[in-house]
Amino acid sequence: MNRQRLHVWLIPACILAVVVIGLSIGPVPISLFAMSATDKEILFNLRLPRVLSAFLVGGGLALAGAIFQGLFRNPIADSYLLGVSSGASLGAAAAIVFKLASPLANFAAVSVFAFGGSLGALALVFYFGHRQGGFSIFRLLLSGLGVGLFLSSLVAIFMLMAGEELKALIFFFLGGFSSSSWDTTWVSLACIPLAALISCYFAPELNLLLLGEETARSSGVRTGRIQLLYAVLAALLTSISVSVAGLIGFIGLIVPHMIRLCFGADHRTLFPLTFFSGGIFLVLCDAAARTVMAPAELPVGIVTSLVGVPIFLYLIRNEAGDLG
Amino acid sequence: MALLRAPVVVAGERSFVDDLGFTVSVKRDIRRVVSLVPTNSEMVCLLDCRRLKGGTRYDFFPEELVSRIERKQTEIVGGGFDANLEKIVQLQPDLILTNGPTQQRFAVPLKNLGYSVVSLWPRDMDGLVKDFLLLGELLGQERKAQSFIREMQQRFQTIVSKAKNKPKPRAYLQMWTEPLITVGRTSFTDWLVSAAGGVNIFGDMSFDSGQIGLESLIQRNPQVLIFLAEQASFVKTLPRRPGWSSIRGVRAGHFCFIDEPDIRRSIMFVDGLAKLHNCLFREAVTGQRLPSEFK
Amino acid sequence: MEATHALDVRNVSFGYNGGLLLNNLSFAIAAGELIALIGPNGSGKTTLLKILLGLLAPNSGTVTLRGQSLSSYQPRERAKTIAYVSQQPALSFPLTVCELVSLGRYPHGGRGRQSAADTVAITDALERSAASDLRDRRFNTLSGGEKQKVLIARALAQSARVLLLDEPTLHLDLKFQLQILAALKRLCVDERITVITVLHDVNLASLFADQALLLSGGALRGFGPVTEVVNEASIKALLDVDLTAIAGTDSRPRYFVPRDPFSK
Repeated sequence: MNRQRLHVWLIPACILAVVVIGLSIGPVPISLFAMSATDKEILFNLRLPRVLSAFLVGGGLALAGAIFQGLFRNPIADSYLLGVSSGASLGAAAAIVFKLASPLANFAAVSVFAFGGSLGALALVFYFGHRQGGFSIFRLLLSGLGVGLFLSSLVAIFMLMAGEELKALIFFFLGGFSSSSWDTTWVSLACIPLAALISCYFAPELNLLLLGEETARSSGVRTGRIQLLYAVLAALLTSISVSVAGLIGFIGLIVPHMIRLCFGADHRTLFPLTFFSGGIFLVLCDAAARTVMAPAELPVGIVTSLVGVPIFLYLIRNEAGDLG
Repeated sequence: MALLRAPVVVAGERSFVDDLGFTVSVKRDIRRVVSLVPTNSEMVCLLDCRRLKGGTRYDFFPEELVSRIERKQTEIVGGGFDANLEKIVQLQPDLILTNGPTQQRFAVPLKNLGYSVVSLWPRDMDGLVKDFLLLGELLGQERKAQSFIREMQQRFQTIVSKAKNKPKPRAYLQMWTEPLITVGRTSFTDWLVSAAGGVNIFGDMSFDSGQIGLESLIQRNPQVLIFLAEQASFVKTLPRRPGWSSIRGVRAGHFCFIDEPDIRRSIMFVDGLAKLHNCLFREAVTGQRLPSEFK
Repeated sequence: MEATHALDVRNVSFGYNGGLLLNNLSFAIAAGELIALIGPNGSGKTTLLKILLGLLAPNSGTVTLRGQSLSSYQPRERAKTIAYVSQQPALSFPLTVCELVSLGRYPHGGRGRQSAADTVAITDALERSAASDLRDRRFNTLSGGEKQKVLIARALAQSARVLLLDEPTLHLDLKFQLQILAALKRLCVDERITVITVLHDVNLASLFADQALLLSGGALRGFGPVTEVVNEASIKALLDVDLTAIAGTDSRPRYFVPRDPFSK
């Protein structure tokens, strides 16, 4: 159990290091020792919420991926492949187009609609992907793909319908943290850590679900409730992340997979490690996004894919033949 | 003219409603301005370029601004679709100018930090005049603003009167080649075409700009085809493109080219308007012409 | 304790959408016996297992688990009394054997750190199912037989007195089939654990089981000591195959061989 003690020390150290990196990198050089009022404003009102948002969204997306993978006993389930992100986008788009909420006036309200959309998408995927006796991996992913494509098309139609007004939406979906501020950060600050804690608390139940619904139920797990709880948690994490930062792909796929390869599949360790690693990964990607081509910023989703996918492919190539 | 929305005086500040309907309070003594849109940069610069501390990487008008950016007297803080909030805050602006809804994602956090953010989003000449006068007032350059407007309106009237009593040519404006993208009713360009004396054949579409099909283009059969200058190589291939030769304007060789800045939403739009007018009312030339000859 | 049955099933019927999957079953299983559940595919074996586990509620009739009505158990209390080994799940995640077996401790706490009792129970379970040497391997790298031992160890870690298994010898080579059934038999004999297992091989059933429960078309076709219940006629009626019985050396075992389909 030496290995385990090592993680416990490493995690806060890594998070601290990454937060310091995130705070110290930026287009405006800031010296910690001689800060003007403007420097303080930039540091505490722009960079700090930005780093926090990136950490929470990264952690949230990675954790949502890990939850879906556990829930469907399938290592390639993910918010994006299952169409849940598209559902969140559609919810937000519908809210904006039908003037139910505006990301400009009330960010939290848009998040609520995004949450509704992602739950709806998940319900559709369940409906089409489920057969008596459980989920066929194949059927599930195909229905996720179908639902996702369909909902994305609806989003596209909304964008055409609303003309100029909706250009706001395009940028809402493009992703990134360049306009992060405390008013978008507090929603994720309130919801994502809470959802992460609940996810970790019920990890033993999800572990048992890996062995099949009957085994889990016969071991005393109330499987229906647990599945519903995790579906809601994953939809919540996805929709908040989409509301804050738009569509950022692949984190939910790559991070849990890498953690599983290094530290095993027990959700009690997988969930916290995935959350923290996802957060660290996205903070670093965002730091790269705003420095590589400064003063212009790269969309952070491009960085996550550019960095993450090669690592992911390398791991797949070198993995022992137990991918399942 | 009911141009100025009665400013309410609040202890050294004035407040008014901007083009997006937000009530904004702005300092009376504005020294530092940041603009996130090229046209706003241009209009500020026409009034007092030294106060423009931050602009965009697409600020090409007026020339004074280009040289200020070269000498780093005006910093680049964005490119229209992106904005560097840290740099903007570092510049400590008294006034930040944005366009319509697209830039609200930058406007909102800046407003929350306590900055004065004004959206300038004119749809036509009245809107432009209103916004330019507002800028003049905010910068304490009312006279300069009014003289610009007077000159602009004179030239505008000249063009309008030339176009009066002539039949209105039906024009097609192509913003993109593949797919075909044109402008619709809500765009400033649509208004420009009608001010120049023409009719936008897609002026019934409720979009700002949008994709259309070749069939509907052929069906609407424009008399004049207006392309952006960078579409020259596309236009050269028109004779080989199926369907296009059945369009009246193509058969008549009535094309012309405009540059993107010609249709910008600035108080200086009259230059572009004159170009559009000349294009619309040129005597129809028969036969195929190479693009260079139309320039 | 011995007076009450491990499981007492009275007039149990189950079905849905008008179809009847189990029709008025009644039987009682004594503690410490190994019961072979035999029947053709679709005879209702899996449904019966689910009813005995409390995962399905019968439409009518009662199931009593160790003297207490099954439906009155809280899920975790029930899991401490009766455990289940399903057919092998497709697990595409790299869980270690130790982690997987420790999942059996869920009804005894489940959250937080492993208690000393948990550690003992896990080590014990691995030993009793002859899987101690697999402890640190990853489950998805094991052979079919090894996986089955580990899955049984997980169920044993629940410390339940009744164990239900769904075809534990499926897809295993003969050596593993025998090892698995021997391990189950030891549980009955040494610890008086009640084992109910679905078996297709009538020879293995005759060799290891104390009682046989014959099921077809959702109805009970025989229940009693294997030596009495499993014979040429009952197998013919149950599975529609012609077998010839050969007496073993002992009085008890009997062996069944298929009749040569080519002889006249």
